[in-house]
Amino acid sequence: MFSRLRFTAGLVIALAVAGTTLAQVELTFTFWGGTFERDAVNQTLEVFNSLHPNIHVTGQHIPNAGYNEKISTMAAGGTLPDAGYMDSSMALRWATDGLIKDLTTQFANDPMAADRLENMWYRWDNGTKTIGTAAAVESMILYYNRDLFDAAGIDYPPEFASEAWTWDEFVDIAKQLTVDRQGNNAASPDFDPDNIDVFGIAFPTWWAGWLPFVYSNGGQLASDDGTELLINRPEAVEALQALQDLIYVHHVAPTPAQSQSLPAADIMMQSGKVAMSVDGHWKTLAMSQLGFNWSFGVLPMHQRPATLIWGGVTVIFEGTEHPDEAFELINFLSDPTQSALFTRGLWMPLQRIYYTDEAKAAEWLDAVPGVYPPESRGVLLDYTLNHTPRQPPVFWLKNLDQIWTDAVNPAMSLLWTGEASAQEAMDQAVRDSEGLMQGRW
Amino acid sequence: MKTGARSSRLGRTARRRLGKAVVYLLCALGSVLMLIPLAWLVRSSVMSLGQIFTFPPEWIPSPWRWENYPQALTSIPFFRYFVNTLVILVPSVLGTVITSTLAAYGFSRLQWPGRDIVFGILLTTLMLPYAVTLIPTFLLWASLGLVGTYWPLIVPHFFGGGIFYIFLLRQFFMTLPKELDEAAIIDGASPPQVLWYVIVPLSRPALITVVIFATLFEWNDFLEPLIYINRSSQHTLALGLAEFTGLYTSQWHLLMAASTVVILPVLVLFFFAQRYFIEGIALTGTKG
Amino acid sequence: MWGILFVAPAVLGFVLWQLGPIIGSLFIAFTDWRLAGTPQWIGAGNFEKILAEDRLFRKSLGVTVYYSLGSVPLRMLVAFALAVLLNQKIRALPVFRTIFYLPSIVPVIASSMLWLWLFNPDFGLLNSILRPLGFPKLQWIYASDSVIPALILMSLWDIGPMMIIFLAALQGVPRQLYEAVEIDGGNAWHRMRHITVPIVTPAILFNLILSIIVAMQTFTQAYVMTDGGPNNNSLLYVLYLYRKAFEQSQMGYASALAWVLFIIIAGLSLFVFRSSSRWVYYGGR
Repeated sequence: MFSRLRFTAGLVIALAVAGTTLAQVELTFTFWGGTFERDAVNQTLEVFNSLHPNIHVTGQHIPNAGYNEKISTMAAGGTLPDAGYMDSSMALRWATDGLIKDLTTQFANDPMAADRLENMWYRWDNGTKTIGTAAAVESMILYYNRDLFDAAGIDYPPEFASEAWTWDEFVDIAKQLTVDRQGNNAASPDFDPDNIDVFGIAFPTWWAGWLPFVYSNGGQLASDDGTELLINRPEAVEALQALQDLIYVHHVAPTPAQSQSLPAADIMMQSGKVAMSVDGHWKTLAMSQLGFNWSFGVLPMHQRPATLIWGGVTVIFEGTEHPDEAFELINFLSDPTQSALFTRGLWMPLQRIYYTDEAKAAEWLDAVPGVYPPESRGVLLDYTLNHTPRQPPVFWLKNLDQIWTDAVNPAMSLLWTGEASAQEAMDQAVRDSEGLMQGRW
Repeated sequence: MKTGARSSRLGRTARRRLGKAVVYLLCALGSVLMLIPLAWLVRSSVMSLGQIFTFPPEWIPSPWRWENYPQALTSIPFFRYFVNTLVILVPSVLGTVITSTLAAYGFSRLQWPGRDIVFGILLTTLMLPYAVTLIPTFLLWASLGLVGTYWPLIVPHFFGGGIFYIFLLRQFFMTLPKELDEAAIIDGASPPQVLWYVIVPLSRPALITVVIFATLFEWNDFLEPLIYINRSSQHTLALGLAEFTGLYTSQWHLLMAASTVVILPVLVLFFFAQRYFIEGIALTGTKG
Repeated sequence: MWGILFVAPAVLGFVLWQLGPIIGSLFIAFTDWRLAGTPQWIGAGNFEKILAEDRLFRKSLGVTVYYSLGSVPLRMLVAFALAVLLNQKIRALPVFRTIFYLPSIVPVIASSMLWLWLFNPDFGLLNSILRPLGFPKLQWIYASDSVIPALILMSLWDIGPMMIIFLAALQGVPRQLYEAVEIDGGNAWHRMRHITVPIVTPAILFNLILSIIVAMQTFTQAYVMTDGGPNNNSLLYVLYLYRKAFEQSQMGYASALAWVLFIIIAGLSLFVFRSSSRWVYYGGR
């Protein structure tokens, strides 16, 4: 066993030596993701290597479950890779602490960079430095099961934001789609809320599930200077109360499960137990593989149509000896013509032109038949470009990890379990945020 | 007098029968509770992603998606991960059993000054959460230049193998009658001989327990390989399983198929190992 | 002399691989270290903050103690009862033993999925069984007051290792002793009370210490299934510590938290050990 081990170790060293003679620059890139994303990224890296004979990138796939431990340990040991995925709040903190490279000059010299959506930049030091944009765009949209709408004889959710349902329209439709075991829908007087068979709507409980509705009602999580939470203000509370009422007053939504990785909504929608679900654009990949009659529309609105866009960030670590090659790499990974992640429904492009130019849009929306439904032009292009009024706090609010875990998430859980009203819960969040608000990055 | 004795014996047989029935009933009931998870796991492994979570739950797959298995086993380099796991596991378990037996013997049946204090100090290593020793330990191995190899995962097992196993064996060694060692020593045996010829044969259930635990631990260990292994080609099965879950989407049907395959070897191992806990002594006493 | 020789590998291993990191983590506990740069010495600052200001420290300690008080005695009792049950002379014993050990073999990633599904109020198996029996819609891990009881219930499921340890210990009970009690006219309770329990007390001590340590450091269930919620009511101590260490990169503060927990666990263990001379019976003494 041991000689085998020594042999393996020797082989690894030999290969590494051979590698350096072939290529002048060795890069390591760490990333997470399921098996599909793993294979897609590895494939893109191979293409990158073949197009850049002077660079050799080694992809290091790290399971999500241990990414933070692994990357933290590497940071402590001074063995960080050249570039890699990172949780965005953590990335901004690490950037401030000097572990991540400022790419301001690299991006200034990159002609394509200017076309990236303005809301996607992660900046710090009062906007003077940047770790780059998200690797790709994600947005929150409304998925639905067409068959359930057809059976109830209801029009599908609108494709264009200009026709977005008002909240009252939405609640009415959700009621008609919610059916108990006797077959009565939630609008009927005989409806039995204790024995619901099909729910009209499901939504995730983490921030991307409720923040769009707060924005739509004119509210926000925190003040623009990042010094106080505004989540207990009437605009925010109203939107949050409306969400809670979906569960406990209208009985059209299931008690939200806490885990975001539990395949709740998409699977339940496929099996006909949920008619509509608020979820991220990335679910398109899973939806398109589930084999049922689905599509998506824009979210219902309060005062104005609104969704939010953001994305995980790919950073270059400070310790790299080859920042220019690493920069080339992360740009390559975000190029819709190179990565299968864009055409298969996991990522959306960063450049504005992919949203405004029909030929360019077709490059990612129509590349693989059966992935994107026909409604994509409205839901993914117009909605993303024109109805994202605010930059979510992940881009700019300092100490956000702790604000979530110590103040906001506990209060939100009270809301979802029905143990407090929106006002009571959010007052608690604001109380608990004392001492945590540290301004902007 | 005679009749009284017989009737009481009869009553006892009846009671014994009843007792046995109760035992079977409890075992069966408990088994059902314990089997639900496995049944759920296995039936999920031959279902489509959609059928796994239907409500009310379905127990019979329709259709049976056997293709989940080849798909799961090719989504990750299964055989390579299996071999990698064994390359770490076999020497680790070996080292653990040998050195923890030695240490447990030294901590239980031999007298030397400071013995219990040293034992207490070793025991404290179980009490500090891994989260804070993880990084210092990593720094240690990094300074030796061994990160990215299997050495950090194997070598420590040859140095006591972990206080958990030492403690476990110590507790068992201490229950053996002291006269056994004394008699052997009077016969001229040295302490290593006593350990090998007296203690080890008598401690088979405990040693098998250590083998089972150590094997299972290495088999399922996620964190240590995660931290010390860098190349995907060096991954273990536990890391491989985690590859099926993404941040937002997970292929649960494939994960369940892969899990079933991963469970199988240890299940078989346990089934055969447990018979060394010899047949139950049975409260009835002697055979019959 | 021989004794020192026998324990030498273990002691050497401790000195080589563990002492350094332990001292290292103690040092880090007195610093402000955010992974970047070098740790800054701040004396007892972290400890003062933990003990004086940190409301989540108090909350998480309370949650952890609540969980431990529930799960430790229950797990001990159930594991012991199962071991006695599976030490009977019955048919299909290997099958039953394997079945009862099964849950401990299932990878955590699969078992936590399973329990999320069992506990789901609307779609879960538990409610689908209980509600037709007239139970109200139980919220399990999704309500502040039932989350810890639900996690305690769940902790009863993977007691395989404890059961095995008891089972191995039961093998050490000499059959003659039972016969002696039987001759003296003792019944099953007497056998249990005066022979079985005293002889397995070393195993009881082991399981008690270990289950205290494990319970106080429980992490995965809260991390994977509840994320500490609702409203921090399942914010187990190590989950709080984990967030500080790996989500907020406050290694200094996390190390201080770990050492506070360490002192608590070590104190408890020492107490149990001290008391053990009164109730643990070692055949070898």
